[in-house]
Amino acid sequence: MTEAELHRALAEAIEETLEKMFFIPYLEEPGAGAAPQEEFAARLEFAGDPPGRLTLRIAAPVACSIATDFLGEDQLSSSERRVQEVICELANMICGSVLSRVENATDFRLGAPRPVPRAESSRPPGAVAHAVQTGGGSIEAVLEMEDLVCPASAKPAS
Amino acid sequence: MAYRVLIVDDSPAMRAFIRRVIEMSGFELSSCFEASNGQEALDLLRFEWVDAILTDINMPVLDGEELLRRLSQEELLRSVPAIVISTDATSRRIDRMRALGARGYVTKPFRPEDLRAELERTLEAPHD
Repeated sequence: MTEAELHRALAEAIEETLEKMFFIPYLEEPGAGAAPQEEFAARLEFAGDPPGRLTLRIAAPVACSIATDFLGEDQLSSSERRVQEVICELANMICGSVLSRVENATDFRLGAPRPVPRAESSRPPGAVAHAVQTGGGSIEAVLEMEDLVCPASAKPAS
Repeated sequence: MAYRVLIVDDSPAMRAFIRRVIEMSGFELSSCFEASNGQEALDLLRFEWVDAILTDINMPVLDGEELLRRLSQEELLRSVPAIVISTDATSRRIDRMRALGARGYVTKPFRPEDLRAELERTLEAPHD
């Protein structure tokens, strides 16, 4: 699988999840140099062929908004813990969705998603990332897989 | 007819979402029970009868596969229809869960109407 194919699977998984479960139908990629914001982040590891992990970072206003909609609660009653639970579940769904697209021939198993502080959520080299912009800020998923991705320009040996 | 439903998922947010979707779909629920893993579900089913079980797969303590296996071994419980709700959309997994006795399978992400349709189909289908 090439990096471009993996990126496409990640983008489709994010957009399908946000559209079906959170009713966010249209998304655009954020402009370069967007200002850093307060955010929620969640990460989960997965076992499979190959194994890896997915990290999800969401601007705080978006996280609060989608958690409120998902839980059907008033914004004021959605505590930070409840928002984090929804962000963990969103990470879980995106990860399962992308792995179903790229690991269809093998079994995979998702670990439990957990909140991570911003310091832990930076993008490592070699990871595939996709970000989208909503009215309240950005949503970014970073997928790290061991020994799978070939550079888009790589050609098979003849 | 009012139904008694059990939702098994280790995510409190997902349990709340599924419950809300069922209620908004027009299903009349007389009781909606929740369990955070398969063992909690089995413990609850010793005392409460339900019309349907909606279960995740990946859960701590006792996962969805083992829950289905245990249900199939219990004479009083094997007729309760179970619907799997999982992020795993691979055909291997779906086939395995159906072989273990799942009557329905909904992959996350799903639209509310997808869950409603599967629940309707499962509850209205004749079963043992």
